[in-house]
Amino acid sequence: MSRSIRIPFIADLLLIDDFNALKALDSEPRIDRDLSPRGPLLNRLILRRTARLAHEGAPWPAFLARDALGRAARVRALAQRLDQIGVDALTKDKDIDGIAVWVAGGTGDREEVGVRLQRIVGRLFVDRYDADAESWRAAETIRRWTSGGPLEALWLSLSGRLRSARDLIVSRAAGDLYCAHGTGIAIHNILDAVERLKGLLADPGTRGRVRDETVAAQCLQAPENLLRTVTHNIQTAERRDPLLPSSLVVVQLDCATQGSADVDAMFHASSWAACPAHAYVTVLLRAILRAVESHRQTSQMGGAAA
Amino acid sequence: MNLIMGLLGSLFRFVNRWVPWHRLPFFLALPNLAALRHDLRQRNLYGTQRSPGPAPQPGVQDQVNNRAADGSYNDLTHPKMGAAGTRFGRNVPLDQTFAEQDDQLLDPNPRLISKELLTRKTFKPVPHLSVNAAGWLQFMVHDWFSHGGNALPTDEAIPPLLREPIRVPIPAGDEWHEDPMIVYRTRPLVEDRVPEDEGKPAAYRNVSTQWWDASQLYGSSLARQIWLRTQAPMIDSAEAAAEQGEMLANGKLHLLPNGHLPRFTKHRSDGSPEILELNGEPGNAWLGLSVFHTLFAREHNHVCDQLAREYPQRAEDGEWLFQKARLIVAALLAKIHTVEWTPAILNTPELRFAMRANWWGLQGQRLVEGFGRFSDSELFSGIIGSETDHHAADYSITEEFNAVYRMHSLVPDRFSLRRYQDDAPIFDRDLSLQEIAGGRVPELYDQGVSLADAFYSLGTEHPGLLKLNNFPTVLQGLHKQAPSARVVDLGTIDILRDRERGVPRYCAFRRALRMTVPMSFEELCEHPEDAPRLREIYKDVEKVDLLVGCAAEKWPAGFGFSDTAFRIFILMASRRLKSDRFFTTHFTPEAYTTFGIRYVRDNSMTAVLLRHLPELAPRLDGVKNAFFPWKRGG
Repeated sequence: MSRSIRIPFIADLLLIDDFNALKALDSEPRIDRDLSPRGPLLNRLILRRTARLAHEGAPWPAFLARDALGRAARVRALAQRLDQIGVDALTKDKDIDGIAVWVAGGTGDREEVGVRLQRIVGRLFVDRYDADAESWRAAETIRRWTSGGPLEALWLSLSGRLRSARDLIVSRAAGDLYCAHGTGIAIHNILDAVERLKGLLADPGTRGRVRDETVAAQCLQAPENLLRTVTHNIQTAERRDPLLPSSLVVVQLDCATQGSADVDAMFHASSWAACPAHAYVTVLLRAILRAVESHRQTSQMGGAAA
Repeated sequence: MNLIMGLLGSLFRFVNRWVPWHRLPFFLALPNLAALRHDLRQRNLYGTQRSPGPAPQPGVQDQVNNRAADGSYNDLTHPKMGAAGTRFGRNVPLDQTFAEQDDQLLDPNPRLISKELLTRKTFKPVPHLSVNAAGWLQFMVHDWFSHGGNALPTDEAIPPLLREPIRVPIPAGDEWHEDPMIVYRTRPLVEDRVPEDEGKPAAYRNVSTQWWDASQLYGSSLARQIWLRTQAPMIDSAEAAAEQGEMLANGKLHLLPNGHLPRFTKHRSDGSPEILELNGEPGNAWLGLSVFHTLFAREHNHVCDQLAREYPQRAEDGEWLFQKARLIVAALLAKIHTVEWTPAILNTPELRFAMRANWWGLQGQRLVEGFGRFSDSELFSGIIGSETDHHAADYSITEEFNAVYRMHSLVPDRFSLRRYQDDAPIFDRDLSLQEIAGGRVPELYDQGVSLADAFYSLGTEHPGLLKLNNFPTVLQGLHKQAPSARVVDLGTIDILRDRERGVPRYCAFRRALRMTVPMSFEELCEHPEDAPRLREIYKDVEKVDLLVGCAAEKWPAGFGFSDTAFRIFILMASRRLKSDRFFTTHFTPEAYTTFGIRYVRDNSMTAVLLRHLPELAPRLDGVKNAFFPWKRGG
């Protein structure tokens, strides 16, 4: 279902949570991702949030326009590189093992797992990437900025916490904004998926349903909202009035794909804005599951020996 | 309306944390039910049809005003929706429908559950219903769905792992004839599988048309429909019907001169022939099912006669007569199920009102029938004649619907066949289910059991309660015929099927429906003595199977099944009507004829019974609902 909110000078939004409508809109060349603040008040406030994440004037990759210089080539190259990483390569990682212990019901907390994940993701881009409690807290601040309420956002902005968090994430990423996106924004979705895996394995009613080839579909969730802007007036099936260059399209991807078990849809895989880490995240979850199983077998053997 | 229902939904979700809908006063329970249905429509419908699906073979020229033989062209913009061979949908998010694997599939041992928690010790009846209510349910289920044959180990079209039977270890002390027990898997998608299915939960095909279109009477393919309409002494296959027989020119279904269903020969696994009755949906024949097939085949032929009389200019047009009679009979069946069978099994003032409101709305029967619909709203003027709406997903029957309709406990173990005139026993002993099933059905008729005797006998006995330890023992050692010929325990199979098809277990199922979840066995079980028995087998309440949980929980007063199952019911009962254009936008004189609309309006289960079996009038006299127990003769 799509909803249109149009109040002169206040808001001009089209909210889409139907996957078919979303696909149709995605193939429309006049729908883009130029997120410079414009339009009515609410539109500006929403767009300003993404603009504040820009580093030295350069938007983070998830906010780049369709034809932004070098975007498509970089995404393609990154996807090719990430696609080649297999489960076996990941299971050797010490951090994967640490995460598996936590997933299997061992000690540790969310922050510790977040740091480990941040390190795993960061090293995909920067060989000597290191994560710690400070970098994790910075990622948490960015999460609160992107999805928190307006008062919280105001506080983060006025207190300078957002700027510090952003600068820290970018500096740990050695200025690579793709790495910053992975360790500052996407990392939360990955951690949520790992947490969901922990829940599924802890529940005797669902434990028997988790398998290597299905773990991604069972645990992943799409990002809550994606923002799209309009380059020229468009008449759409979703509302009576045309969308204007000042209109903002809010794609409620999580809502559109909820319960679908469709990993391609969650990663918006057929879109020009597809996530290059699609295959990698699936492999990462498989590696964690495999490590959990191996950890369980070791504990059972230890128990039997005792 | 969406906004109002959304607000009502939020309000009742809050209220229901402390007071469930069925404990609210009548005038609050009704809006609570409406809000529940609205919420379920938004959040509990998921499609699985990722493949193009079977090619439509409607077998009818006017697809706008007639039901296609294979269920295609019901939705004119998506002609394959709901057609035979399309997939079952789901009522829980797809990421929760991955099948249970390996050890978990057998944990706890389903045979142990069948023996300890399902086996009938003493028969627990439903005092306010007759066995006809059980027969009717199966008659309806045969209209809505069938998974078709199982995955036979010899079927090379199926990948080896998927045709490997499930092997259930036999618990110590159990004298089952084989160890392990072999259970054939549900036949997976083979021909219809597409790359998009990779990594997704398994989906299965519904080999019946998914619509409420009386396909149990008319078949789910053109070939079967032709067979049913072809007159010949004995035809054993649809191919033979097409070659040897001649389709009845008057639009009627073929019946024997004595008014019984035609017969055909099927060969048992040992090669011996078995004579069975022919109907639209093969399998699981027994007397309780046969009586409804026979009655409504007669009803179809009666409607053909009436149509020919009403529309003499079309009296020679057998195809037109058949198609119109089919539409009328299907609608009459849906009406009987909605406003008679359901209020019988869910016998509360709220449900009696709600089910009538599904058909006629708050406006009520008299005003709708007298003056037509006052409003487009389904709430105010009923679903019938309102706008079609599939809500959150394309229409299909769902696996979860299938799961909550596992109601084998309704079937008694013994049947006393008696004469309707004086209640005198026809045989010198009661008969078992197997003695009134399969090839025994036509034999019983040939031995002098009349259709009236059969209806009367079943109408004066009670079905079993869908509670723990009330599963018919005969179904725990059922002799199945070819092609999967073997002795099976349906109790074990019922438990396994839900696990195999990815239906969540009881607690997860309730969570997916946003219901409260029991934290302990004591909280789950209506009867405190059941809690330790369940704990001993399951250890953890989260592992309780849906079927067992539904049987163990405390039901709303007057209900014939659990509140958990009811949530799926409230969603799907409306959906079968609301998604079908022949009950909504095309419930019109153009499609049905003026006579047809009037006929559906004026008839009921009792009217149909008395039209074809007027001798039963004294037995139905004063019986408010034909699915309640009838008066005994003598």
